Amino acid sequence: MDPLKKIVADRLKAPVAGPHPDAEVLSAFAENALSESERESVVQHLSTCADCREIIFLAAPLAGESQPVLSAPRARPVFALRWGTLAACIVIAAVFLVSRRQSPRTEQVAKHVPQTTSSAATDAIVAAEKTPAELTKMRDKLPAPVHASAGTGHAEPKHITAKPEGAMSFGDSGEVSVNAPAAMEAKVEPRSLPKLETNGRNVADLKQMSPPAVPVTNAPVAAGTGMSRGVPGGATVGGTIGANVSSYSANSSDFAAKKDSAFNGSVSGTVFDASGAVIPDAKVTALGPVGSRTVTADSAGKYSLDQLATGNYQFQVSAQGFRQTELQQVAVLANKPANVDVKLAPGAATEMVSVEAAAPKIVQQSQQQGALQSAQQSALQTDEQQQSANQIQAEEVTVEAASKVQKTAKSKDKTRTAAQPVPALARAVAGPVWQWSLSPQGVVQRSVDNGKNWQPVSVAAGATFRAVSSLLNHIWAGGKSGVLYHSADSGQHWIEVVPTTGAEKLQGDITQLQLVDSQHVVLTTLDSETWVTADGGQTWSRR
Amino acid sequence: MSVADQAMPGQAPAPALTEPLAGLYTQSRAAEFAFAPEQFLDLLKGLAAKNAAKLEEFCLTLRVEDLILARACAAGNERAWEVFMLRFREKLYDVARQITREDSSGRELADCNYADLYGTKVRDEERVSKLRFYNGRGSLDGWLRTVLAQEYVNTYRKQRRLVSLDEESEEGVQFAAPEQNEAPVADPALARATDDALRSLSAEERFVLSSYFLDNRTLADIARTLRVHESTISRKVEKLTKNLHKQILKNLTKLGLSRRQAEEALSTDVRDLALDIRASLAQESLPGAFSEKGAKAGEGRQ
Repeated sequence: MDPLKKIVADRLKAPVAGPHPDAEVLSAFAENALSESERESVVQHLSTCADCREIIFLAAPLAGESQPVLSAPRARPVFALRWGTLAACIVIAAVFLVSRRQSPRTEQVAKHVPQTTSSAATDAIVAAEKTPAELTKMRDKLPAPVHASAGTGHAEPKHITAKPEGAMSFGDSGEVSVNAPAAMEAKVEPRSLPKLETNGRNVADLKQMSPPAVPVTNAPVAAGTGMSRGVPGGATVGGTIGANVSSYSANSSDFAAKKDSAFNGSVSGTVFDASGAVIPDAKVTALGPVGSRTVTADSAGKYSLDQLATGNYQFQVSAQGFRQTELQQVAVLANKPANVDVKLAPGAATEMVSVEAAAPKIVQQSQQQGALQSAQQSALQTDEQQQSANQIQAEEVTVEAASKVQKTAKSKDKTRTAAQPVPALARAVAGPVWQWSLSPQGVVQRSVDNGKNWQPVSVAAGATFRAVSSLLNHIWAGGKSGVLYHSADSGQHWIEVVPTTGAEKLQGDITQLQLVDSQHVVLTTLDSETWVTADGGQTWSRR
Repeated sequence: MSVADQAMPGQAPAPALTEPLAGLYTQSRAAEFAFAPEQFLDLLKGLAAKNAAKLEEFCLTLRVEDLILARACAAGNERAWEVFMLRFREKLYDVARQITREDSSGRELADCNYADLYGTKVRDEERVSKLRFYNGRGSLDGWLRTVLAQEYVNTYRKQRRLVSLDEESEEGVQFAAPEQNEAPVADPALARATDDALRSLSAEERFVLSSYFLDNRTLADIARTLRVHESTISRKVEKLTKNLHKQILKNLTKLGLSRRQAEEALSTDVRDLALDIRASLAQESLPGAFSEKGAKAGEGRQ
């Protein structure tokens, strides 16, 4: 026996303290039904009375036979709570570790979202900060695009997940371009696009502009040059585009075939008057995603528009002696010729007529996917128009309408009324399409005839500009010593913007301007400073 | 006059009973056992006064159903006895066998206890039942267990002195050698240091040490009695042992011994100690300490 145990046992044999508790108290003690003071006195007695301890242990029920307690349970000893405290600490630590482990994933996704939600500004910054080799690695490591489903986590369409066909190259100004494969190099000249009718929009712009619920085709959409294609807008001067590092990519080896299929949409029809008689020599103008084309109907009233890029078009049909009629949302599908007959009403007023495309298999896609396709079409159209700009312009024949009405019959106008809101894209191209640039002297100028003639625009007296960029009716022009002007009405009125961050004011020469949308503008100075605004120029942050 | 004679069977709660007493009256099935509301109220008032507690609060802690059943049995209500036998007859035999660890002894203990519960003694022309001493603070089942255990301890102590001559012959007690000299008394300094260390412990800690060191109870038994986990008692015993060792050494040092002397006293003296733990369990108490007489004496002291 342990020496200490012997000694303690010997000394524990003290005289019995007090009278023996009766069976009532002992049973209540065994069932924990005594008050604290009573229990203390019983324990005091039990610590000295071997007989009562014997009774307690003899009367104790077997395990699982304990009686329920009616009185309030005694507070558990502190040492019994230590396990609970320890368990709680372990649980808290485990939750913390799990949350820590999951947070990098969240951050990773969060980093991708701004990149892939067509933030050209961010792309440009990434391209400026990374070396070409790093960007190539980033491109290869890019996961399936999350831009179209950044908020929802939905799966992406397959056609935008592949890598670009060509390798990226970087210009001195930081532009990123794709070196097309040998089969394409003869056709694609990404650097010489002086007369491109992109209306000041680049890929990123079109992503932002995609109208909601625009019916687009399910035909294979040409992926354009896709990844890293810098698409210079017609009004972007001085290397203002920068690098549009997009994750959109072409996915097929038959790139040329797909490119052609994107422009094999066609629309034809006949122009009638209200009585059903044909109207010869009517002028039909198609305003589409990448520009406008105008043809003149023949003597039989028939017109035909070939090699149209797929997408939604607005048709303007006019003839002398008739009201000009506009047809909204004419869907042009690849390899699906559409027949659109137009009836004109006598008069001179302009009417709005909504015509749905008759082409089959119109698939309603999400807004984001529509934006994606529009962006790809725009990118592809960029290449295509480089080759066919002259051809397109040749077709823009201005024909004086010969108002020969072969059959006159007055009938009630049966034109269809617009049932849907005008898409943003159609609205954007409804007005005069200005192209913006800078003269060699640093003066802002604009052109409405595809750059044939340029008109100087008075922005600020004595200011010398080095960059101008436009998006719809928003024009931004920046120049020496941080001078920056903004017009929200296509250049009619200009407001000087002074970028500041706290006490610091932008003083460097602005060499690049990039409009993500009407609120987000990214400018770069000669000193490689990047200033960003997210509220149309009211506040700025420096990166 | 008994309670059964005074109450009408199936009598509804009297209007005098208010909540929660009225609910307790219904819960206790007092009406079924011919226990009148007035008697019910008087019984509860008496118990509350005895424990110096408020009537309503005290009544809620009572097991009124068991209490009324016991009092009705004590009063001789046949219906109450039927219920009692149905609930506790087999259980009492099981508990008795568990206590005695023997079938025949257990049955004998249970039968003897039945007689006491019914009341074989007559005082003032009235049968005295042991169930009258049940006051409902614990369960009737637990009380019966305790009563059986008390009876067993009393019987054991009575029979301990009765040894047959055959047994003494077999064990050689008649020719037993004279007892050796008693173990030397422990060092007074060590005894004092140990007593001081034990006095600094709480009652529960002394109970744990006594149960573990003196009674050789298992950790599971102690834990079940104190309603804690067995591992808790294990840690507590270990901690108490360490602390006691330190405290005794410290006390010995205070009494003038050096550290080395204190450790020697704590170790060498143990060799001379011939403590008989079983003998300590056979603590001498007054005969019939847990008998009805003793219980009445205890009740009178309360």
